[in-house]
Amino acid sequence: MATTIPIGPYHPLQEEPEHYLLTVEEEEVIDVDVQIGYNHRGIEKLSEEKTFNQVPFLVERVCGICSHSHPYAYCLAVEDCGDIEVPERAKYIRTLIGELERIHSHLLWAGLAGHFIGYDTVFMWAWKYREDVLDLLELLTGNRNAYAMMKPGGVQREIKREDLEGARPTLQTLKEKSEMLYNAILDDPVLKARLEGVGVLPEEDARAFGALGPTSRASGIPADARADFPYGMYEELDWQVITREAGDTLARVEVRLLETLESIKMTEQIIDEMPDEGSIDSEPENVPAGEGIGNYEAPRGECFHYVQSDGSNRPVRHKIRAPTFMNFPTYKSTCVGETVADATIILASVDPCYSCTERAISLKGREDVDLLELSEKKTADLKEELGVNKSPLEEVLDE
Amino acid sequence: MNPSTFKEELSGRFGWKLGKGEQSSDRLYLNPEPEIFENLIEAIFEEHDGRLATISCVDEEDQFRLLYHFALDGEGFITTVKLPVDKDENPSTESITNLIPGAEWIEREVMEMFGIEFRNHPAKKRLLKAEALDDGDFPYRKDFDVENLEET
Repeated sequence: MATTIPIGPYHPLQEEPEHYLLTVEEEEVIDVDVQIGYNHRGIEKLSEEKTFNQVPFLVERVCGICSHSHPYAYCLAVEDCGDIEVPERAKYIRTLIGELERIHSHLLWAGLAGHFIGYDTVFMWAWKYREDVLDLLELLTGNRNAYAMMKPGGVQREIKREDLEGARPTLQTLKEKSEMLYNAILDDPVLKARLEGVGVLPEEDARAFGALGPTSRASGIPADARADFPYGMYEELDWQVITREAGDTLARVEVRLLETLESIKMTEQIIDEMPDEGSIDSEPENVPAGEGIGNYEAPRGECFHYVQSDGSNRPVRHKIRAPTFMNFPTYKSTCVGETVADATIILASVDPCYSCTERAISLKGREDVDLLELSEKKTADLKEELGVNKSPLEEVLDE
Repeated sequence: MNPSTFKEELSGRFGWKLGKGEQSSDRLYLNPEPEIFENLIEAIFEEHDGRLATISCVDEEDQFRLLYHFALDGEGFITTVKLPVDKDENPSTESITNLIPGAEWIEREVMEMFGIEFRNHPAKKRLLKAEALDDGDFPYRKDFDVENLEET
């Protein structure tokens, strides 16, 4: 007899609200239905009310993890529409941030995947090393997420040579640790048993559903917007598109881990080759009437933006399609016929996109600031302003 | 293959009905006659491995226009097929989900946001739209009144 198991919209295993309805017969999943929309904020509509230069700050908030991908895809669309040139130095900066974002995103997923199958050691490791990447992004852009680097025609800010050189030791550590993590995950017989042959997405199904990014590359499709539609500096860099033939969850893990190593390699090349002088912005005056398409390879697959302009300073239409929108429906091919216990890791293996929570950061430097000292100083400043000189203890003693 | 040779090949098959459209080194826009639309989509998807990236719907003053974006990954260009839809009481067009399964969610999104019906769609139900909005509210249409939305 068939039973339905509801998961979500709020569930300890999920980082964002989604509602799955699994129909099962004993242990076997026979049907899946999904209800989404709990995070729908109408960004496409909001975008039509912003000027071309304001939109990057809006679409940066489509996703907290892909906060460089959406503005990048949008800028590519606007640059396609207006035939806008981008200076080489700006392309280097864009590519550098994009690859660092891929590293932290893939590490985030590796950790979550470990967590989903009850292997929290992987979660602890992966997220520990991911912190270093976020710190690196803070060093280079000022922000751990939502870097605010993109604008049509270039980038908003410079990256100094000394900061670039300062990134090298972290990248070296990251490379060693990622290799360690890669070996640990793929050597583990328990993980292999949980992931190998589970949730297979055959190549023809990946094509039919229009799957993207690591999800399609793990099913043997060598599609990658960085190679197929070269933007940024990817044509100049030495890297390769990672593919696997198996199409199972293990293959999706392998593709992401190997891509992390490729991204670290590219980041180091960019630091070596990026010129120290040169313009970072072509400062386009306006966007002519017309239409443009931008497709950017985000960590989860291609981000697709379509922009239509009527010659005014706002887009008439801005269509956004995130990679998960195409990847998620593949559950129809991967989940049916599997067991209930495997359903969550299969659903998670396309790396559905999370809206990240905010995080407070200290801007003045990280290790050398004592929070207690800062707090005491703030209290002292306040007391001075109010004309209070005594400490609470002194006041009590006086009485 | 590039957009020029691709268009030549399609022209050989569909003739003048393929219509005119802009093109560059990596973009091709097509405005076909509606009668050849389904055959054209089928040719791009099945014979040329075109990947349906998404469908953009544009609310123009007197009509809707659906833009079917196909990425030809191996060839490195994107071809966009444009299809006008009349703006009457019940705007509708034929669904392509039976041909391309990946179109299911894309068409559902257009259905609820713009109110364009995709005939013969296998799952005509809500995907994204907030419960507070009625079935007849189409928030992405230009004439949708955002100011007077009630908070829930």
